[in-house]
Amino acid sequence: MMLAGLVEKARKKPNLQRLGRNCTAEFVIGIDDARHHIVIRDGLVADVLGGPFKMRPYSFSISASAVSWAEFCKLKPAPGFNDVFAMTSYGHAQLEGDSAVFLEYLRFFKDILALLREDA
Amino acid sequence: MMPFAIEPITGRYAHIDIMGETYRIYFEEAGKGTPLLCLHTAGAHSSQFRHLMCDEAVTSRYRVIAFDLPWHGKSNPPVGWQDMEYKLTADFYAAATIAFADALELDRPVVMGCSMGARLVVRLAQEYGQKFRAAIGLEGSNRPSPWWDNSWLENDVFARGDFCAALVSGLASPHSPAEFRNETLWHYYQSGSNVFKGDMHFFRTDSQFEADGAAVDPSACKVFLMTGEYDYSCTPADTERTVKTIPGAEAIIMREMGHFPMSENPERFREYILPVLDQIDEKGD
Repeated sequence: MMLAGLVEKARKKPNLQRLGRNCTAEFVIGIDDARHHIVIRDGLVADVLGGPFKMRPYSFSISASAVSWAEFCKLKPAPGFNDVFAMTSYGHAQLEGDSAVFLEYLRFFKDILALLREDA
Repeated sequence: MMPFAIEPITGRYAHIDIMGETYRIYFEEAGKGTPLLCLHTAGAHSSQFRHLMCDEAVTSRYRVIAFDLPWHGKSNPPVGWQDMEYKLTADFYAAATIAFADALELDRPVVMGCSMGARLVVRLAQEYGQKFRAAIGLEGSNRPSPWWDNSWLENDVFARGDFCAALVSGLASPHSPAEFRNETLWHYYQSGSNVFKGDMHFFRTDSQFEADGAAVDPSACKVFLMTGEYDYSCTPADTERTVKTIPGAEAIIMREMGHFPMSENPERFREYILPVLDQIDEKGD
């Protein structure tokens, strides 16, 4: 499961916490039909929630198939899978919701996604 | 520890008239021979070409020159910048490049641009083909193909270099060395506030050059478009579509390469660029 250990991995990255120190938000990672809420508090990944959810609020979601995420998580993904924008650009993933918080802390969120990689 | 070394690159300033305004322009160069005029990407500066300027296989026969476009790097914005919104237009970009080449009396240089610079070389080949002996577009196409929504430009994050770097970070290939990928992103961190946004006016709005492809005379100025397979800003498909509209143009798809070939992976890039420079050399005009 690609989200396993995300909270602990993020805790070991002091620079990640510095980048997101002013960020408190909740976003969704969709894997096939499953939705996971990632809870961010002051730059820490505070929790990864697996649901079930009853209209739980969130800022934005990034959704892709399990196959696409598996490619993204490789050390050297194939072209079109190496970045969230590569995936949205080629239609392998969808970014939905309020993009403002995503853009405000863009490097922070991209660095969290990089923790899903095999070498993180 | 790396031994002490001074690179062969020299940097100077020139005062150049562009569309009725005098600009203080910074440029770097190295080498002797056929002028190779290099155009950097949006929101960056001429340091992107530093590896090419230190490659004797290039500088033994090419005078490699790269200038910082006004507002970028060490080139000044116009006097009064504080009361202006910077918006790069195709006309200004072409005029700045021609004015720089003329001011330095470059004799029919090869023009090579990356990203927005590659978009411009398509127009230069169409409109000013007699002034250039070849045009090389790194990550080049003849029209915008946006991968993010234009409404994002209204967000103030575009004023910040760290945001611009994060926006483009995935355009570098995972196969490129981390040191050079991150140096490439540092150029975006260095950018002046809102400069990348101003460049996007050209790159996303004012660079529709699709209709005039047939104007290129390949006997005067052959067009080479070289694109990395990891580039989703200018995809290999964008490049292959573009060369079909330009007489004599050649598409070269670079394996394991991203959007910044000369700066993100200089060793791999030279495998692709040296044969192109050989071909231009052999033509010999």
